[in-house]
Amino acid sequence: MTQVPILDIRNLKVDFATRDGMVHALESVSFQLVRGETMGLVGESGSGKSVSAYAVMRLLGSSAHVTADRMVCGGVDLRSASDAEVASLRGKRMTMIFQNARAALNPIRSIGDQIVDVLRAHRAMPKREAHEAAIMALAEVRIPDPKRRYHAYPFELSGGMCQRVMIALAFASEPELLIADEPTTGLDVTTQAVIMDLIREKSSQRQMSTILITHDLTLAAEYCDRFAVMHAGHIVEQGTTTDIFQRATHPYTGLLMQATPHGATTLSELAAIPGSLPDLRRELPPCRFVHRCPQSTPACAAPLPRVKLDASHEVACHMPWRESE
Amino acid sequence: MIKLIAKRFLSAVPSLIGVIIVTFVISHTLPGDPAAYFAGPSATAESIAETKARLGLDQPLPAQFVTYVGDLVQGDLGRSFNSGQPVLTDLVRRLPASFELTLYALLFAIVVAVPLGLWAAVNPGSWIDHLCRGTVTAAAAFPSFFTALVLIFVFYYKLGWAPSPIGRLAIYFPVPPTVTGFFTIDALIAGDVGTARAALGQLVLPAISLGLFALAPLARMTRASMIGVLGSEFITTARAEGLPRRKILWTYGFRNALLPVVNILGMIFSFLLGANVLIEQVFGWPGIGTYAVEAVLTSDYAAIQGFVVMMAVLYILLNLGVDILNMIVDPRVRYDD
Repeated sequence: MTQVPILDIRNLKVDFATRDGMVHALESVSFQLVRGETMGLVGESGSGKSVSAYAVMRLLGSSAHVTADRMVCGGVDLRSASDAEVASLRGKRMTMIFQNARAALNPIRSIGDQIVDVLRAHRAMPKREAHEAAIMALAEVRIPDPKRRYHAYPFELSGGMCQRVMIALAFASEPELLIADEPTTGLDVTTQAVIMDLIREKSSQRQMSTILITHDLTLAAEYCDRFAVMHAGHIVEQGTTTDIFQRATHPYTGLLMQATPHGATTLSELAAIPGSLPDLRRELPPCRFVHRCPQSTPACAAPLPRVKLDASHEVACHMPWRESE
Repeated sequence: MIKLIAKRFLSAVPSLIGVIIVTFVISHTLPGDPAAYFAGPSATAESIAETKARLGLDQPLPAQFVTYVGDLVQGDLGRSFNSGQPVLTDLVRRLPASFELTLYALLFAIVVAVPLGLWAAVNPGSWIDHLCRGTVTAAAAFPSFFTALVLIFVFYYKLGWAPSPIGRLAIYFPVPPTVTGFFTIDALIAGDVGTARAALGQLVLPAISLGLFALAPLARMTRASMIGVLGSEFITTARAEGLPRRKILWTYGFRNALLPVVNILGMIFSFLLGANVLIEQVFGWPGIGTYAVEAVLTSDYAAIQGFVVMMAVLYILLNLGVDILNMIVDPRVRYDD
């Protein structure tokens, strides 16, 4: 099935100018997303997951230098689009939900009015109609008593409720692409599942594509069709959920799997990944994992290859991992 | 909400009692003998003692205090030695002059500082940001009486644009019938546009001299607050959802940035009422500042006490006003008891 991808990113590179020099946050990040697909973007904190998302949404500040060979969303070239054009894409084509929903909502505006703001930003809609639509939107994310809650402020709602409002807000503009940045971090386990189910339900209803940014592999495995694993600003491996979970090929992915608890693992069986992320301000080796890698060889100093294992599975490594079976 | 307001009001009562005690004690332990002052330079010890007895100053301090508080409860602030009038009458007559001046000064400061701060915050590092910083520093660097003198020199003496800087209204304009006590407003109510304009003309220089003083904290606060708000997560959300820029800056940015600014308004207002003292001297403004200075210079106990008590009450009322304003803009405050 060859489909025009809804999002097509090739060789995305992001550097930040800081007081201590350039931070090379992202390098040769490439991925595509087709309609209706859910991709998990995983990796430890600081690996560049959120920066990738912000770069796609063009939400990075002026200190960021973003370059790419290709960066297209819904047929619009994000590199050359003007601020106004990008602003018109946001909400309509692509939207984002955030980790801390309470902080991500305007504290002094009622949640209903905030949904009305989004509705009216994208469609000419009389106030009364928008008001009704906002109540509907609240009902759709199963907020009890939506008529009354319309007037509630974020501080009056629980974290889970705020995240529901956030979802209602994101879906109000009927986007084609949703980027969910750690949407369930900080929520308790039952609420996590409820929120994730809600996101899945809403996106499959509308054939929406979703990027789920998370460091919770167990959770992501349940909801994603595909994964991209990030380390220190590189996508080290991408493939289907089976590819990643059954046939992890990059040493980092392998170690990440071993560091993820499953039902039957004991604490002593959990292996931490040695070392920490390299300092992104310095000159970096071609493979940014080389200093932490248990199987690095002198050959790793050569430019990073992109090895295509099959149609869906791709790894950026000279020495692909073979787990002893 | 009404309950909350009542609660705030009640919580002000102890501070009010404190103010009354402290001002009484301080003004009575100050050096200087009002009886000697009033008996005149040629008075004998005997006539001084007589004056003392007449004024009730020979009583022990606690007794004087009881009398004072008893009178205060009945709205009697005592009689000023200087004017011979009840202090309350003096204050009520003079207060509108100071209030009008202070309000116009505050208005001037807000109208200049808030847009300047916002503009600077939206374009940090731009020329407007530097202009904002420069203006604010310059305005704060000069004492207000000095600014006042410079303004008079330039705009009255050299250019002749401003009317003569004496009092609230030039002598050939009729004083409008009192409704609010504000000449500009009373004249308009009376339909006398000429007088209103003249009163406004008298106000311009002192209001600017006074307002320049408040410019710095207001502009800085607005700028810092707006920069903080624009960097917050809900602004990112608003952008990610594709809200129009105008909506993001005004409804999402400005309204939130305003909260701390509203909070300091009460403080700035009372700060200006205090700073009035010098400006009123420079412009011959018949307000409470001038009154207070005279009272202090002549150890006019009743007038000093009356002035301080009134300032304390004003301060409490102003802060109550700010609290109410806060409840209107910030829903979180309404629930916070």
